[in-house]
Amino acid sequence: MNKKILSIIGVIAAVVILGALYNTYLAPTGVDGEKEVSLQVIVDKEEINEEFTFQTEHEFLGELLEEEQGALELNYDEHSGLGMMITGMLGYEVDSSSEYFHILVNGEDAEYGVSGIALKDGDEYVLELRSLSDYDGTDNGEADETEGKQVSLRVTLEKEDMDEEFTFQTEFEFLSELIEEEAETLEAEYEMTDFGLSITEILGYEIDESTEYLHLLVNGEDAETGVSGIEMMDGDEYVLDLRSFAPMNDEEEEGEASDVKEVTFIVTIDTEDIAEEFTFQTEQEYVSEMVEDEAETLELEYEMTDFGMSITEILGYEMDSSGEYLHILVNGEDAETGLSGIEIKDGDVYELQRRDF
Amino acid sequence: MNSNVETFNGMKVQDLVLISILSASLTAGKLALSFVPNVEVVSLLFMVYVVALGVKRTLLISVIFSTTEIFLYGFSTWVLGYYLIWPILILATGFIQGKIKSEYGFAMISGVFGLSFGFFFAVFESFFYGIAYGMAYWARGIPLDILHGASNYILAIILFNPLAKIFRSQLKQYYIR
Repeated sequence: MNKKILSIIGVIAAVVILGALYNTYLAPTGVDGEKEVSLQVIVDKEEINEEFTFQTEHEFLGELLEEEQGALELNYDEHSGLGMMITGMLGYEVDSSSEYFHILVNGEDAEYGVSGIALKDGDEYVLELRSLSDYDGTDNGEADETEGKQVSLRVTLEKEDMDEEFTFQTEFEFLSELIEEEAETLEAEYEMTDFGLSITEILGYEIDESTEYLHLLVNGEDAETGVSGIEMMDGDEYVLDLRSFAPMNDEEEEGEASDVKEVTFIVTIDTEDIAEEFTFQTEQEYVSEMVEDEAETLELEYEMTDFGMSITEILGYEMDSSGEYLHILVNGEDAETGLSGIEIKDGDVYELQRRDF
Repeated sequence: MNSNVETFNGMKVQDLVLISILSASLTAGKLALSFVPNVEVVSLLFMVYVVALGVKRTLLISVIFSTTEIFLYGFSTWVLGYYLIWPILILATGFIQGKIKSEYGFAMISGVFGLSFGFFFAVFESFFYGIAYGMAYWARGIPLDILHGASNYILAIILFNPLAKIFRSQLKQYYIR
């Protein structure tokens, strides 16, 4: 019996020693004193993007969040051992079966939950709603492959006589994430739109969105989506080339002077087995104008964005802008601009094909 | 009805009943101690079952127990881990039972099992969420693993022999082999 008691005492002593070693070498330790930290909360799908700055004497992020619960409209569960698990912020409730708040500390993925993150003066924390499937995609088994991806990005602004090439090592999945991260190097400004990241300034050059845009090439080919839809692969070469739209409302007199043109307009929605062909006679100069005129025939709903016309519904089919888009072909070739930038020529064949991002 | 009648895959009715009751005991034991983080009697009971009933029946008990976890907590990656980790303990116990007679050996196995519990799940979760996640998961859980290992050792050193003795005598009395 004595031997048993001794062994139990030995185990308890080992626990105390191991616990002390853990606390000394492995456990996150807080820093005393007042700190100023920033916290950004991002819920893209609700267009929530708010930044807070806090002065605090707390040692861990979890404690700070708890204190600011009211301002952050924070809901959370407390898990023994794992600490605080955020279930809602700024009025948004997390669907824990499919999404979570991803934590970034100074732009890097956090290694602990909020309860284990030690606050340091000047730290920037981001809580970003992400889907669990994104998490699988980035870190699952392929993590080794994604690590150390090397890509090049060339920015050409011919009218400014600028042509610069950058090479980046990145672990990000999408080009937009890389641009966000390297915004300073690229002297880039951007905004988040329904279509993802939209660059408004690059290499210090401010883009006039009404007349020009950054055309994206991936390995020499026209990109089919914007930067937010481009999944980066090791060795990829991206080019952002400043190009001009044909002016959208330029010279009505020219429009009046132009002849009547006959064009073919094809709409293909593969998922619904829709494939319809129309022939339109039009005097309009741009495809978007013609499409506007024919809105009823085409059962069309659309909205005007910074990039021109964006179709939200066609032939009764409602587009899911988060997962699909209408790809435009002009005479069988990928279009280089949106509908608002395509000049109508007699005999042209325009095709709109539903495609997944 | 004769309880010795073979019913399914050579199993007797009494086997089926016993496996059900013992898996229910595991779930009850786990729930009863769930308010204390990482202190559990499941490891101890599995080891007692192995020495009293053998590896095969205990493996079946572990399958029922792990499946019950899904009913209680929903389907998740850690539940899949249960289908692996308990059989590992059962097989390890089955392997050493002929070689070790003292409760110290079983207590050591139970303690090491508790200590490495978090590591096992870190490796397992790494397959789903990546190595970085696995490492963070393991590092975050080290204090709980230490607690788990120590409590497993202490519970086994105190309770393994008495429980195994009661189990064997009850089986001798009521269970017709």
